[in-house]
Amino acid sequence: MISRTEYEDAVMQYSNALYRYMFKLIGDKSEAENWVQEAYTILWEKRHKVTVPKIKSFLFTTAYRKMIDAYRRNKLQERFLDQDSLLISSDNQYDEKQLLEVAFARIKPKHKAVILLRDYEGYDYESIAEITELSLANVKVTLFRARKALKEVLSALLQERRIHNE
Amino acid sequence: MNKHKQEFMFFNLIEGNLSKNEEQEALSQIEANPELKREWELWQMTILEPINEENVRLAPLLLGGIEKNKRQAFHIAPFNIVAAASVLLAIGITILYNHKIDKTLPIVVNEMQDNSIQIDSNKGENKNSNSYRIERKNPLASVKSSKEKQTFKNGSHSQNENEIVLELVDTLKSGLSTKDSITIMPYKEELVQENLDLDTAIMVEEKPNEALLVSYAAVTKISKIKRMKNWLTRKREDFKNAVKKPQFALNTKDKKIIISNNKYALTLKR
Repeated sequence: MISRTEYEDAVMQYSNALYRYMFKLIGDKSEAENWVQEAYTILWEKRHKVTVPKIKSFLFTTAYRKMIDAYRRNKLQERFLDQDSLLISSDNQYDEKQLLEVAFARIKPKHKAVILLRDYEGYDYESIAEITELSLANVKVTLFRARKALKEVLSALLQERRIHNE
Repeated sequence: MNKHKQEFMFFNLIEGNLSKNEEQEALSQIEANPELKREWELWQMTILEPINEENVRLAPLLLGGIEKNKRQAFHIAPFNIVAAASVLLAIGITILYNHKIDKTLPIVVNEMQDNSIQIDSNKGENKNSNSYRIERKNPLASVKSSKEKQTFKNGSHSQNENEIVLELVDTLKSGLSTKDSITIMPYKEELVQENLDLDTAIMVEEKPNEALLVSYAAVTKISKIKRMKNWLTRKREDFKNAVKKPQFALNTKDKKIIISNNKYALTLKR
């Protein structure tokens, strides 16, 4: 069980990290805020069942699962598509950082999630497996595919930029 | 090294899955091959650098959320009291209503020594009663044999109605003990409907005895009620096109079975 003080500590410690994670996943600030609020609301409702060491993974797991459920129900699909078309229609003039952002926006949500959990949050494979409900072996495969997909989009964007510059 | 192995090597380098020696060896290979070097640069770009963007609105929102929950919790308390009071009131009304119904049950069925059924009809508070007797002719007569619409007035039965009563009583008797009581009253739709648990109400044409016995088992053994309900749910579709009489209904709350054929209602209560 977590107390009110522990809940407040969790807000101060993890809310921004969770927000960044969700924002990177869906690319919409207000949507990301909603999922963070949803996760914290559920945390408070289930505070009797959650232990302090598990708070962080509980929040990330809950926000991710809720978002994926909504995505599966096509609620967010439109947003993902909009985000992608917006990026495709831009003029290919990116710096390296922007290039990565554009490439990242084009990979699958599942691929985004594992890369974010690994790189942003520094989670090990076991924790990623818990959050994404994948097996340990599947996490490794998914992460491999995610990085490979990201690399291929990056490669294509660099190629486009090179052609554009010529 | 094929392309797939190369990709795994890059991935393992990024993920830090290689030992020092393996890492050194891989980096040497990459350094010696310009094509591998270009690929390696792309793979390195797949590592995201954490950003420090903060959302200053979130913390107050999240902390405010539990304040709201707390306030809601405070408001729920009076609601609980109101709900509890409503339940008590409903129970009180139900008890009073049942008491009233018991008084209105006008007919009691008794099995006599000469193998006939005696039906005593009580008339309310003044305890006056009319008795009449039904001879057993064919206790297993089919319920379906009664298709004529006849009225049940002043304690007079037609032969068909008597047969139905006998059959119902016989069926019940096969599973009854001395603790059970059987009453028959003139059918009043509103009275019966009020008494029924509509979720478990059933209409049977093909297998009335089976339905009745299952109902009875459910009443006598509470553990079977759930199974009974499942059975009823499954059977309900089969009963959709069944004739409307007689109706068998189970009131699990009051441990009561009511059997009616739109002319009279027979209640078994334990």
